[in-house]
Amino acid sequence: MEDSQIIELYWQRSENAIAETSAKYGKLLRKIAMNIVGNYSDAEECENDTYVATWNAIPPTRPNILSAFLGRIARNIALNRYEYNKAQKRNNEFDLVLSELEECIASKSTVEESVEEGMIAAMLDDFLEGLKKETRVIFVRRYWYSDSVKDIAKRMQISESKVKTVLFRTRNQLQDYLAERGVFV
Amino acid sequence: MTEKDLFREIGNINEKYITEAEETKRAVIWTPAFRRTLTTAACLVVCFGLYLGVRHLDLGMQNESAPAQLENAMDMSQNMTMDSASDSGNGAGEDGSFWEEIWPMENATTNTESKAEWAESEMIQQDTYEESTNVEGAIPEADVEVGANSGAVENVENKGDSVATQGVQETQKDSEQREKYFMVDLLPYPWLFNGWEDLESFLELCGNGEAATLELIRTLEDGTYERAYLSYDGKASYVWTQWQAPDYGMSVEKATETEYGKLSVFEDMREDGTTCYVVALGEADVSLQDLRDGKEGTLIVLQYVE
Repeated sequence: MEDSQIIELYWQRSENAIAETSAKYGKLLRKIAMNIVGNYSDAEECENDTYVATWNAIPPTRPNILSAFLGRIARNIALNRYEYNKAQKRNNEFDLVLSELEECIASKSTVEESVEEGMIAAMLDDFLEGLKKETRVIFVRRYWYSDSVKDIAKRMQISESKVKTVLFRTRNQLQDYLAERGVFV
Repeated sequence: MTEKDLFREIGNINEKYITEAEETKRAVIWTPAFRRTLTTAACLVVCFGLYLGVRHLDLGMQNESAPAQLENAMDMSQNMTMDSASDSGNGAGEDGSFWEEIWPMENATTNTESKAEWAESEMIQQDTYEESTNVEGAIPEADVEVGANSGAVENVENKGDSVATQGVQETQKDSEQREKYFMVDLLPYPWLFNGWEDLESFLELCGNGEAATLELIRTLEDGTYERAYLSYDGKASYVWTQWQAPDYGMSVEKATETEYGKLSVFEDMREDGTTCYVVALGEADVSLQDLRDGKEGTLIVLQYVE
């Protein structure tokens, strides 16, 4: 079923909306959640919570790209679940993702508190636009989808060492980029 | 802002990038081994075409520089194929036979010296280089220095004009028509891999104290393929793993595995002006004199051929 048709089911408050969403995007949502929370049961719960959140969000929202809309919700829900579980469980792979992003933050105590909401995301868009496609895909797969280095290497048909090098360089570029724009001092 | 906040902010990027990352997936067929096969096949076809062209071309109707161009192009192409022009697999460092084995073809067209005379002059040049090279410029133990914007090799002392060069023949630099190979010689057959980026990535990861692996492959005289890994464990150990394979890239058994504690990189310039790099693996620092003495199993030469 096309995305527009699925969205229309939500607008019509049809119960088939969730069934169709699950059939088309369930695997993607579980993968995103699994990369963050690290265990299947929590990933399933996050997937179900995503459907509830989507049901509540549509309407009034009419997303342009349904997969990205759903993925974003699943990602945030999974991150909340990760924080909740942090004391009891650890997901080594996702911990690695967060520790890598920590390198991009020059100083946690000097961030401009007055940064407008959405400004950093806009800066990130500009940053990503300036990257080569391969570099951008690797960056997004790692820090949006939270894919492992091994999975990224397999997807892009390149060596793991090259993935690590690309990520290392891109993080450094991102740090410099944000620092130049006064986000991190 | 914490790393989690940044992670959330990344979640708000434009949807087109998210979709692009979801849709981008290279076909499994484009493995490094498959790319190497295609590149090698294309190179062989080009070489064969040049060879036929030279044989049937009426050189008398061409201008004066064309024959030299075509001959040099052939020689350069022959140097870049996996079939080595060397005669045998021995003799590293014996009266200049190392240089003779590895790089005879390029110099045959650039000067009128005989092979022996050229080898002797090469030895003299190496002596000159030895005297002027600062061995301390080699990368320290189990560590490869990585500059801010460059790979490790750029931090190695460049010997500049200390080795006499004959200058670069413009006719040899038909680089736009040729593939670029980095030939890693583990005496005497050259090792091949495509792309400076692989080597640069490897050296950068070593410099950062991260585990890394460099894949290499070469063809022996009898057509057998050999495969090798140069691996760094992220701490203090480099491992050279080498095994034979009856068919391209499909390894069968591990033949040898040797561990080294030190990796050093030197930069050198050949007679024709091209740059080459020498990667030395061993338990102690090695010099270019060791290279000439032919310490097998410890020295790898990277030659940038353009």
